[in-house]
Amino acid sequence: MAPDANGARRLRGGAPGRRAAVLLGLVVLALLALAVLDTPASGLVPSASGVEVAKRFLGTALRPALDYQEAHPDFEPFLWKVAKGAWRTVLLAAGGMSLALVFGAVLGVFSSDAWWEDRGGRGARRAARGSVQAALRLVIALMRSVHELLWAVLFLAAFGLTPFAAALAIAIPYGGTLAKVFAEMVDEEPRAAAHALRAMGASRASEYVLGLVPGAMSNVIAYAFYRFECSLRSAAVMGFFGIPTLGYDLQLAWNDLAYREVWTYVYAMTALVLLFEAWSAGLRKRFVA
Amino acid sequence: MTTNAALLARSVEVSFDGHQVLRGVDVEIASGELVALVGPSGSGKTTLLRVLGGGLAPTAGTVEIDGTDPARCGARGLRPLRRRIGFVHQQLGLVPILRASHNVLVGRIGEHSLLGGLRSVFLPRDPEVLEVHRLLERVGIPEKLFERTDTLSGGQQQRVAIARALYQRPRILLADEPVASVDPARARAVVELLVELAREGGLTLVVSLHDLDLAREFFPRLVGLRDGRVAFDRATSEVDARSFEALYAFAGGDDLLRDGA
Amino acid sequence: MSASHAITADDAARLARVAELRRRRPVNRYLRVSLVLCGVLGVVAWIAGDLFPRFLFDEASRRNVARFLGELRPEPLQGEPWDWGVFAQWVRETLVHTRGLGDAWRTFNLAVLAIVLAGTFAALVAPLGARTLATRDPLSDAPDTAGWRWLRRVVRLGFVLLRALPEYVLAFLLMAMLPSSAWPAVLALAMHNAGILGRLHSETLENLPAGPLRSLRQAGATRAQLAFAAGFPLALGRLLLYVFYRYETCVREATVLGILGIRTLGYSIQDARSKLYYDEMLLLILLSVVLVLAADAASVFVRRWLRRA
Repeated sequence: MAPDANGARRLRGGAPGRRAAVLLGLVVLALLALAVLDTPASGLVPSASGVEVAKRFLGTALRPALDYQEAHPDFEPFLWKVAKGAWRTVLLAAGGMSLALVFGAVLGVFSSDAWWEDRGGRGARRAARGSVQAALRLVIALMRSVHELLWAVLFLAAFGLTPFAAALAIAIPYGGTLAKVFAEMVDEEPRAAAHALRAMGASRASEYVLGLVPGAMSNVIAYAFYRFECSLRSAAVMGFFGIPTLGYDLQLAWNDLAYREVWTYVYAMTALVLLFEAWSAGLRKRFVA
Repeated sequence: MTTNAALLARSVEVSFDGHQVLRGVDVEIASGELVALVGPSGSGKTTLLRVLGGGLAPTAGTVEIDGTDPARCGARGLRPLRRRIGFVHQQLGLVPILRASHNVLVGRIGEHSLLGGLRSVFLPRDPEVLEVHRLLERVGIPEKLFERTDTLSGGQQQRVAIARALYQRPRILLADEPVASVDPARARAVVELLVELAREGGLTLVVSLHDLDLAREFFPRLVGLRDGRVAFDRATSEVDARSFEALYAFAGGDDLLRDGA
Repeated sequence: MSASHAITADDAARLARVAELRRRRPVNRYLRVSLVLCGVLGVVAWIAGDLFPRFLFDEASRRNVARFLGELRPEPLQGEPWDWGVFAQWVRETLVHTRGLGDAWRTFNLAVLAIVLAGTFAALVAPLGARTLATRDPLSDAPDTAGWRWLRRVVRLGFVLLRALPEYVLAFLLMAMLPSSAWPAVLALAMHNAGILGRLHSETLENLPAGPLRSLRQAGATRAQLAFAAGFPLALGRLLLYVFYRYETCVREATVLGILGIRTLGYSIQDARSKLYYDEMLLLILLSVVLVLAADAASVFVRRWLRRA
């Protein structure tokens, strides 16, 4: 090979062997998965009716509906309905995120190492503190590990079809994720400022909030924005459970075989996500060094 | 057993992970006195300052700050004691993302609860703002009042840290190697400023210094530390060149290993 | 200014100077506007979105919640004192007759297949989105031609579009077009993650140290050789880290895709819900928790093992 192959190998890091092993392992697992799952090659070829649906659906991709495909005098204007669906999606996402931020901030503070370190005390007290932190981390892991749609299944059974149930379903897993990431960000902050505040006689809470949090804030805000973007997708999907967001409209239009309307909703959802992505990218560029 | 000393250390020993940094230090500093701690790096200057400031409990021996032993006040009593001591850290300990004004206002955080502290830092009242501006003027950077601290130069950040320590309204001012990261011309100005400020406010000032010439020029009393012990402690006029040579003899090898201990 | 505090002429002048400094202070307007907008959005969400759980104060709904909580208790133990033996017996029987364990196994495999497909796609397509490779003269600072610029833009837009649609919606659409099998779920997961991995991998390729690649280029390597023989091995470590990072998310998503009717854990959870067997539903959700935590632990372990090298 080329003269600099040795340099390239050096840059690759010490263990191309481990990487190759992991790569091979993944391929083997994927082949195994092909055997376990119901994935015949024929499953990739649309059936006759599927071809028909695909043809009609994909054929209208570039002609999204601007009005109802079958107009009805009682209906509100179509684009108004799309806008309302998008607005409701944003509202549900914002409601879920506002709760998630509260969960994330509270759990994040009390599960971080920075909150519990340097507290001195004897063995029993230390052990008690350690177990409180471990319990909080377990709660966070449980919140995170159940998908928002499963939380929705639970809450819809408990509370019925209410926006609160949907917002709570988003808020719990998102809150857990925010808590984990916030705690990691604060723990990575240098401690110099916090220690200086302690030396001035600041309380533990003041020391944490004024000495550690400001430094982590830019990362925290950027990450919260990114999660807001994700929560839009989650809020849209909640529509499949009957909450009136874009997903709800999309599902109904699909069932009515109004494919051009479906595309309008798909584009609306995409545009919404892209809009928020651009917003948070702008924020990251201007705010996070 | 009352003394009128502002700071008192009696047979203070400190060890970190079995490594002994201070080996029986006795120092007494009267109220309003100006003292420089000198010695090679690794001699224990920083550790002694932290012990004197109540930020570090000695492994053995006792410390008294204004006649109070910090080891006996418990976590609650420690806070009012620490409020009396302004500490200019070598790493400054400023919050980079906040403005200079915020960083100075933080100086009185010890007097407030969490919410009161947030109020005083982010929604300061006019008298508070005036005081901060006056202090920044005193340290020479009034125009930086609302600049973000991480956009300031190293020397300017140091002045913010000094202003913060003064805003705290301390009785005692401790400064750890305040000129370590400043060029020689500015170093002189910084030490001069600290001494002036201490004289104006009648504060007790203890500064650890690597630079012997500065220590001799500005401080009437020098405490020389070597290898965790007090090598000499007398008026500057009585310290001769031999004492300094003894202080720095053969210390080179350990420097690299124990820097900043 | 408070009344108790007399203003001297000096104070007034100083306040004026402070006000002037405040006017001139650097402000991150974008950040401010963003935060205010978010705050407003949060408040509006609670008011206009009808989020307050008013129903919790109404007697009938409260009884509903209480009844629901009661039904979460395993059926043989409802109204009975707790007995671990009975409980263990119930868990065993439920896992058998709902086929929960088989579904969990399928969920795991579905996630593996999807992430491997996504990673493969990213590895193949990402070079076309990398500024350093998809250009007229790779690795040089020479001005680019419009054709290459457009190609990169299209590839990047493709990545964005792939990840813009939620997996759930993709699977829903695919299921109508493909005959019934696991493929719609696999493809939906793979497409979404291909968008994410594609973008990350092309960024890794762009940020590779240029030196070794440039000397390969001077030695006469073609663009494809640069991308796959040299660039891929160099960026593989990063790509694998991302793959395992996303894997945990894939398991969570694969679980819920079952709600659409593909046999993963979500399928049996949905099945139990529609039969109103809330105790079985809870058990299966807990099984999904175990599965996700195991996937999380495994991916953390592999990432650490890779990084330690």
